[in-house]
Amino acid sequence: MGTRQRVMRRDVVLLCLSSLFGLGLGTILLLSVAAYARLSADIDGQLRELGDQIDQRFTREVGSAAAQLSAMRDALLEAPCLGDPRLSKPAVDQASATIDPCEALTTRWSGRNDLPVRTYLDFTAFALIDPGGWQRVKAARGANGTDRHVLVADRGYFRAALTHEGLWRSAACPSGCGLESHWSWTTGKPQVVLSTPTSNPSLPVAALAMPMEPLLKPVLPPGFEFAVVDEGGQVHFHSDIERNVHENLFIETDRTPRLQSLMGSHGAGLLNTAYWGRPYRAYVRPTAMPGWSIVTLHEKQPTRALVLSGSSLPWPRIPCRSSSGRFPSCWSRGSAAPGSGPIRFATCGTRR
Amino acid sequence: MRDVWKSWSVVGSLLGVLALSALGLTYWSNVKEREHYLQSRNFRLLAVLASRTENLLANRARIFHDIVVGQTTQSGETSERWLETVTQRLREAGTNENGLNLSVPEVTANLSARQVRAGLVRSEMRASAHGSALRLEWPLSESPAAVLGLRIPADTALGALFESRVRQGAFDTVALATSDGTVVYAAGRRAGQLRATSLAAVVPSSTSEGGGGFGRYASTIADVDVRLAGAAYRMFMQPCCRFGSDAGHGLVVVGLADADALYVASLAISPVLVLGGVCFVLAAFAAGRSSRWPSWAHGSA
Repeated sequence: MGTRQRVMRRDVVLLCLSSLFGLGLGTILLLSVAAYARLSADIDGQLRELGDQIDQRFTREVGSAAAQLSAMRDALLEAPCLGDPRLSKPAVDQASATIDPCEALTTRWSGRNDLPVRTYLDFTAFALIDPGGWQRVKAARGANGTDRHVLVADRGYFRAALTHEGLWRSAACPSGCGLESHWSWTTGKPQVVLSTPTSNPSLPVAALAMPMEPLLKPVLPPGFEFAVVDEGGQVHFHSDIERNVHENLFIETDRTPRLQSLMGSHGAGLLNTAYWGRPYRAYVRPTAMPGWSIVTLHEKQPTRALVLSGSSLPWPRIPCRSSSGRFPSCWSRGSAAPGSGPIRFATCGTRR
Repeated sequence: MRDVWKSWSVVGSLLGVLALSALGLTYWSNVKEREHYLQSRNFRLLAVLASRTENLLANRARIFHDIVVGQTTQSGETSERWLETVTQRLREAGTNENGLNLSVPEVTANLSARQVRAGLVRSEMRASAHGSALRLEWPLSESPAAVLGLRIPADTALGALFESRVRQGAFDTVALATSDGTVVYAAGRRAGQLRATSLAAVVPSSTSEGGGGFGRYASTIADVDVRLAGAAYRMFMQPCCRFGSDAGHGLVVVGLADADALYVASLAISPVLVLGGVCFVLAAFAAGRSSRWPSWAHGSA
């Protein structure tokens, strides 16, 4: 179009078409950005709520177990059977460790009878352990390998309670408790053990093994993950249980400074991070356990794909999976539009 | 006016070339960094998988060891009779109900129960494979033929673990193999093909010429380019399950990553950067248009 040329009708038509095209493109871009922002805000809220729920359940479960452990320990320390001279000598092998003078009481406890308190009945085993690490007095749900008295000298929970190092205190556990997530040496399954020191020098450690189903058998909507990590980034619990105690979150998130700073300061906040090389949105919050944090994660790629596919405006209903465990945190947004109200957590498939 | 325009076009072109070079260099360095990251991530993932597999076997061995050591022996008792009692105890302990799937233990020599028990207490365990089963062995005497063996079906022991690693998306297929390349267990898209072949046959012959073939790679942490069913893969390897001083035996964990997918992942640009670029180009167009608009409107070039 030169300086002295007239504006032709064709030019006007082309200009109109270009404007329409530009306007359409701009509208799609704006709608996509708006949808992505709305979805991101929703996911941020869900991550926060998931983190809070995990913390509540984790704290409640550990609190109940600590109360059960303290009560069982105190009841056993006062029992006459504990004065048996055979218990004053450390065990040398499994045969000597299996001599249990308190068998009458522990058998009743194994059947969940005559327990001093009943705050946590789901425990799988309770044991008093001698200084050498042998379980000497044990109440366990037998017939599945858990009733054998085993050597636990290498376990972190035993060493923590024996040396009084790394223990945390709470109202339910005033003398200090240690918590360890590991793979059982009697069943091969993941489990959690809570330990506490005792006042008996022959049996200085009491321990309670628990299934911790909210963290070991979680039910989550697709795309969401979580990890409970200590201050060094070691993953103690993960939504994919195969990663429990085998992953360091700091390394796998490429040492994201904000994640480390939030965990170091025991703060809570949202952040973007790469996790196993893929972009994730994450929420960090501290737990009742000193130095431990809960990190909830959501992969960004599906959200982006959802926006680009153009089907993002009606929020996809996430099916509430039937639960195999007791974790009831399934999301159900129902008919609510995104961002129009708080997320409702549905209790699904809860069983005792 | 003409001279100014001419000098501007030269300066502009130079600046453009410089800017493009800087961008290109930054992108190239980013690609290299990402390549390095993805490679180390895959090795890390494999290391975790190998460590978990090792723990899994060690855990089963420990359960078995505790039961066997806890079982007393009678004077003159034969190993067959004693192992029957051990098997009964394994059953009572509910090991298989817990998904451990331990087979009936077997002794490959004519030894007394006392000798077997003493050998088990004294010796270090080693892991090997037989077909699609993992085999834990305890040497019972100086003779290499005298061992106490225990079989574990690989699919039930490793299924959940390997499937979970495939779901992580870094590897197309993960497998556990012996050091001669026999695949014991595989999970993922190419599991069928891997089970049907030996890894020694998959590793290209040119890389095998250095001596030892697959075995050479299996004893070290390595990656090698391979072709499987016509597709290009990068095979990552991590030795696994070498217990105690057992250097000769042991297994290897293998991860197959699609070479094209790895390359594309290295070339990926952050969406934020793409959006920033789009905004910059749009802004540049808008600025250029608005600066030319008045001269066009007034009819002077």
